[in-house]
Amino acid sequence: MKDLFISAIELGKRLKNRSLTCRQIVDATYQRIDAVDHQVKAFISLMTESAYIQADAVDRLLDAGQELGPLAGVPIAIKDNICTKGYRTTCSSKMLENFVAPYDATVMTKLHQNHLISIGKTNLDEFAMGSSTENSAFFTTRNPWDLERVPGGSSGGSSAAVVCGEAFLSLGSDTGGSIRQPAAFCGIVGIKPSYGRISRYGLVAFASSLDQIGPFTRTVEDAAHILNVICGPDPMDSTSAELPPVDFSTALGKDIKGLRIGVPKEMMGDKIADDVRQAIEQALDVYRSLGAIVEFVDFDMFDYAVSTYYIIAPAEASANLARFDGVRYGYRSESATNLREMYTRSRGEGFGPEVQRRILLGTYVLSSGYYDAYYLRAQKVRTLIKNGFADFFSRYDVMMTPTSPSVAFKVGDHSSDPMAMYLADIATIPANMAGLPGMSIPCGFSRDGLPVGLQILGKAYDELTVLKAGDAYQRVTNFHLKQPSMNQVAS
Amino acid sequence: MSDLSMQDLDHVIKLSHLEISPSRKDMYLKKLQQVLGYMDQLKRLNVDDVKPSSHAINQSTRLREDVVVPQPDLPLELNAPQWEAHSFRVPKILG
Repeated sequence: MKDLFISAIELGKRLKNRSLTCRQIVDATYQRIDAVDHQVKAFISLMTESAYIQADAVDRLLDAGQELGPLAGVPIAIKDNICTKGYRTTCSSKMLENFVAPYDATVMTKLHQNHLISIGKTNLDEFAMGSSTENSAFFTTRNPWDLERVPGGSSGGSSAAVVCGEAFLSLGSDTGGSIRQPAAFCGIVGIKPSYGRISRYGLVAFASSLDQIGPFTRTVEDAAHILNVICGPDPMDSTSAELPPVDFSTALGKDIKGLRIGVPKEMMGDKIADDVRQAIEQALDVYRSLGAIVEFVDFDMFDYAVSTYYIIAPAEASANLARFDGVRYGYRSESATNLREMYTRSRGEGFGPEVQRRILLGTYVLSSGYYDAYYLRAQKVRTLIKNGFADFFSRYDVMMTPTSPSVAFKVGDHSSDPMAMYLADIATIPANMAGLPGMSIPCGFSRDGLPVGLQILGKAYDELTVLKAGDAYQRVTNFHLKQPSMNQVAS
Repeated sequence: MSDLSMQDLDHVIKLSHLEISPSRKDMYLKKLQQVLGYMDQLKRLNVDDVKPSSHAINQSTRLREDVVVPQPDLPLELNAPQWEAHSFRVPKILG
């Protein structure tokens, strides 16, 4: 069914004019999953029963002439670190392999209230720690553009599902780039809103001062509409920002003449693959042709941001993951004979190597004798990064960079070298440090035919300008309409 | 490379409540030394007079009324590794 590759907004229109029923769409979505997921491996589990109940409810409401929102009836995939009541929420970890969430995350409640159809839970790097899904305890998701390559991570299942027609939308989480980098690798749109825009209640915590939920979509227009559904303050999350409601769709269709774009020279130098840099240069030409002002600037915080991130994020993770002790839920070792062994063996057997390494790193940088040298220093450098952005945004409306220094790499290429993997996030990490909104949009292809992502960063809480810039680009280019060859077989 | 020693790593393993095999410890030591070595670049920055940031955005603390709201029953037993007499059962603590 070719309707599987249209935008979510277009699908919503077809559902409302009743040229399609919601049940037909859900049927087609699950048939597509049956047809391709043995290759792509985006999903850990499906939510078939509740999806059909929700779909039939949408059809009844539409048949009765009820007015529903623009995304009502649209199938959406959910990263498996977001709690879904009555369904497994595994974080792709042996530790939570059989954990059934007893409550819904706030974003899930908002999706249900707006009649979106949750179809299943997607694969990730264990506890969202990684950039390729290779750290999943279960399997590695494959990139639909080239099944030998990774889809990016940690939200790689969510990005792969949207690009190959297994879902029209998906949710991910972004702690250091885990939405934007897989969006770039898969040639779709991924946005991490400002810290506090979306409730984290029900998102399994990795690094609480950095984590944000956000969507994957095929168009910037879809991104604006799904943000309208999932943003907003929440009494269940004291870090959610108390801000007046925003209609993000007002960013669409706007002129960007005079938009001030700053491009850090450091992110256009020898750290960046040639064909990525060329695609970004061409994208900047498009912005110039639309009347934007593009300037190259000195902004040398990227390397420091990576070091800072790999101190702060593991430190917070080591505290957050202390709750997994085998007592109340999750994996418990069967060989323990006393309480201490139950803790140490459950955690030793339940967590995978990357998670253990980050717990150890986080514990080390917080430990007596090393706290000042590592953790306190990193928190101070975080202030410098925030100050650097404040200065930058006093002169520019948005920052643009490549989303990742390279296109999608091959499965296994970086898995034995942690620093190579960590540097895949060099362009995305700074936004998390300062809580800024960031979006990746497709802006070209490498010589091998792999997608390149353009990252657009904005001031805190200024998603509107980020969306405006992305939408203006998509109205005059067609990179977001390109499909991997595996989709052409189906259409 | 940092000067993280096996003794340091053993201490951190104990603090982290992790049981880790000797072969995996060797691997972790090498990789952690590599990562910590990369972080040494932060020492080049002068941060003497810089205030630390523990949050991305400076937000005021959200307060709300202390009102009791009904809570749905959480079926704790469904996820409990061992459940007995409305309690989580664990191995003996003393002795």
